[in-house]
Amino acid sequence: MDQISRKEFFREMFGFFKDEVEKGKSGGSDKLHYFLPPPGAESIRNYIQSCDKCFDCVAACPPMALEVCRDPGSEFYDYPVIEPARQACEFCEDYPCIKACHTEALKLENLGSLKSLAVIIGNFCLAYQDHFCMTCVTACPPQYKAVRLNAEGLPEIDPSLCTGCGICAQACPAPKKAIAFKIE
Amino acid sequence: MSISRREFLKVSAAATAASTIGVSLLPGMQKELFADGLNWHKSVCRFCGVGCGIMIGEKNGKVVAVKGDVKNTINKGHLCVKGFYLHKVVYAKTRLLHPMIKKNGKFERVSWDEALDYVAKKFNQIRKQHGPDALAFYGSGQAETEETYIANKLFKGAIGTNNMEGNPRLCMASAVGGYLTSFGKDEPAGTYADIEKAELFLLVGSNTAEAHPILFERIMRHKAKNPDVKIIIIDPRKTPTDQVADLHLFPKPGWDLAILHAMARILIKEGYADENFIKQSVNFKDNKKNLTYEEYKQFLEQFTPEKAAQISGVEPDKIVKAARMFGKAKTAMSMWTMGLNQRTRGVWANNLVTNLHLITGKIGVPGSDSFSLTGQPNACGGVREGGGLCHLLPAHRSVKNPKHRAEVAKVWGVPVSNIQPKPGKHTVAMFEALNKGEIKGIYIMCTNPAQSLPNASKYWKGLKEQFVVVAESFFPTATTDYADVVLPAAFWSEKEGVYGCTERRSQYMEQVIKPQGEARWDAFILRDLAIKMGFKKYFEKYKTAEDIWSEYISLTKGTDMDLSGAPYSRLKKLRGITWPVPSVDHPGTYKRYTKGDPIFDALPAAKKKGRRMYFYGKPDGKAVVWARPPKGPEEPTDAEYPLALSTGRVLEHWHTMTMTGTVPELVRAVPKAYVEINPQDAKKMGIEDKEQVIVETRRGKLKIEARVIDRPEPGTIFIPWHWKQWMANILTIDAFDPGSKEPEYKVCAAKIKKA
Repeated sequence: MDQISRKEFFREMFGFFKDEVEKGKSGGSDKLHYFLPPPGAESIRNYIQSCDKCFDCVAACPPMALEVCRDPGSEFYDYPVIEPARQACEFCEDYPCIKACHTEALKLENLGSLKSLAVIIGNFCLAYQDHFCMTCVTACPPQYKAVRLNAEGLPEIDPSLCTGCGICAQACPAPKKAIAFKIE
Repeated sequence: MSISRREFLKVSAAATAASTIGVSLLPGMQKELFADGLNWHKSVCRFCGVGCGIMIGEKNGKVVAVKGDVKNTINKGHLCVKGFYLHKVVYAKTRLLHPMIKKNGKFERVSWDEALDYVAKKFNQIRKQHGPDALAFYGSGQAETEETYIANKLFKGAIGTNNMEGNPRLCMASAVGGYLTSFGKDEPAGTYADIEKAELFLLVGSNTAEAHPILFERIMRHKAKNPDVKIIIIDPRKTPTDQVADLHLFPKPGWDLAILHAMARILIKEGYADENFIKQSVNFKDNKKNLTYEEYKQFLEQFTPEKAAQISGVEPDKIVKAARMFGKAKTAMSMWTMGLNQRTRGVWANNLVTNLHLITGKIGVPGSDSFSLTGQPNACGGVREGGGLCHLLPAHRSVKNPKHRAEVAKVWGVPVSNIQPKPGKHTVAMFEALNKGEIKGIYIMCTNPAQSLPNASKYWKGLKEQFVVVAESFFPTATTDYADVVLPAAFWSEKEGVYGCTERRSQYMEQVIKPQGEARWDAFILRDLAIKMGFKKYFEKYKTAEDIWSEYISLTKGTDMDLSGAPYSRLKKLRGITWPVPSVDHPGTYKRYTKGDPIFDALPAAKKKGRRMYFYGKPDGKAVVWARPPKGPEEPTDAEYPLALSTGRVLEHWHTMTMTGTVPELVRAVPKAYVEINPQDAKKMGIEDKEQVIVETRRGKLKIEARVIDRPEPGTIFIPWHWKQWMANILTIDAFDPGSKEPEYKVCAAKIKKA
């Protein structure tokens, strides 16, 4: 086995790391997210620029879906986010998170301007890995019915119906969550 | 394990990159590294009755992974999400690791000797004072055939009571009754291989997608490849199975018998009947007497589509359409589960589905069968075939038949007088007797009746008061709460044995690891208990699982379910085999009662002359088409209780959740119970989604979350019954089918109000 020097190792790692970050920034809507900004954010850029990290929205969230992002790889690092795979947003009627926001980061009139869309990652999805699972199909709220089994028995998301609520991601029983999000 | 520099960089770089873009390492890549040094062992899934083959990955004496067995004909490497996590259940925190005796209301750890001595002493005391019928055994369709066989011998052969039941009574007793009355012999004529040959599926009372996922997948893929394949569903509730349906009939719960008669009427009227087959192989009967074909037709006359519509609540044109689809299809396969079986007229419902096949001749040919789906992995193998019910003896024998008793007593080596000729108490009667104190001691193995019995809370009294021994792999369960002694049982992968699935296939499972803690194999616990009770001479001969299996298959020789060609040595090499298998070189039987079935082939030519099928369970070889009255449920809805309550299952959990409840991924997927309410009803009652409501029946009340969803029809509600905290069975009715004694879990009257 070839020996790798410490320096070499870091150089290689960092190169890869940097490339991917760049790709992520420029990649636009093709990029997959595991974190979503709170409801009422206008765009990712606007949200990150306006939020002053008071975390009042985190404290106000009844289902405790909002948390502080602790993933240094995410552009939301250190900002309040929702990780639907852990706990999806329940879209409370009165939006306590937006009410708690005292900056321009979250605003009621922005609701719906930032669209998230669930995406199934075939490599992680049990159904796409030759097993039978349809948890996301049954978990999708009945008023949306955005996740369906196709003729092959594989779950598919209908982008025209998906609201990106992330309830499917929360329920997903795959060893690695097979549902991520596109943000538009 | 050595990794080259290149490989290392590939993997570690991918890992770093992955976290950046929010996609972590692909499981495939991880598996390659992980799978290094795993030993794979052949086994069978521990969950439902489909019988999927599983390969157990073992490393250093630990089960670390499972994967679908690609060589298995049933699942071809596929597993459902429950099976996928089966290996996690082995090391669940709730595993029971040592025997315990309840002393002063608290469980205390004891040695095996102390526990078994105590049980033996108590059982012998009860037997002496109150007779053998004061003892009872309640087993399981999840126990291996060997385990049920030993229990059967101990209770029916040694102790001398027929109070020996199992939870299959709650699950497929009606299917047994249906097959016996229609064909004369239990269990389906065909196998799963018919799925890929069928042109039409009639799914009645079966949420196949969630209860038998791998079969659903096979149906779905078959339909995807052959778009002409049609699927008709008869079910009061819209389920995920609907995603493949071409036609769905929504009867009022419990009122579907009329639909099946109406379909039969149309089939005959419109010329879809196979008159030749009817002449050869069919008799007609009603509840009292034999009928002629003409009389049967007259009986059907009352079931016009309009009349059936009036009874069942299904639109008449849908009934006509369903009948025509069934008639037109060249081959048809009907499948049903608890929706038909768990009814006070479960046997009749079974008969009426089989009627459709008999009058159209859609049976005994590839792609056509009336096929009952079983709920538990070894309900067919261990309990139906092994004779684990109060009126049965091994290999489809009956306690009432003196010849059968003599045959079994001889092999068991017990005096024939030990086996009582009168059937014992069936499940509901058994727990009723426990309540009344007629049964004073019960041994419960591998099941959880305190939660799974209908009207469960009624039967807690008996469990509390009488002497209860529970042999279980998990602790606590609803039943161990009432136990006086708990015995730790070895779990799947910790024992060898045979499971027999829905399609008559017996499959061997390897022991892969040592049992956790002090857990022991159920059959050996029972053997040692028997020895301590003084039955040494009957039981000391069983040293291995193979000893038990070999004795059992010797009893099947010459019966309709001949397994004598399936000893361990053969089963170890095969992915199971479908009986009858009369010799070790016999390949197993695909279709019963017809050419290729060794029993049919061995019939004298005179009997078979001009006949495609010979139902050898009936004296004249003719199956019976039954003219059953269209009776409704035991407890119809009324003004006070206006909603019909049905219970059922979800894909991610299984029965009382003692297994799936220990897998975090599955718990997360469906964390709690709920009651499904149709939006129309919810609006009327002012109930909103996710609100807490109280569901009430004449037997109990349950506080539970409402799920407003268009799955149940207006006027019906549905609760998945898995959870101990939201125990649906305190609501269900314990009325049972007078023939099969299977309770009516599927229909009772309920009301709902806001909590």
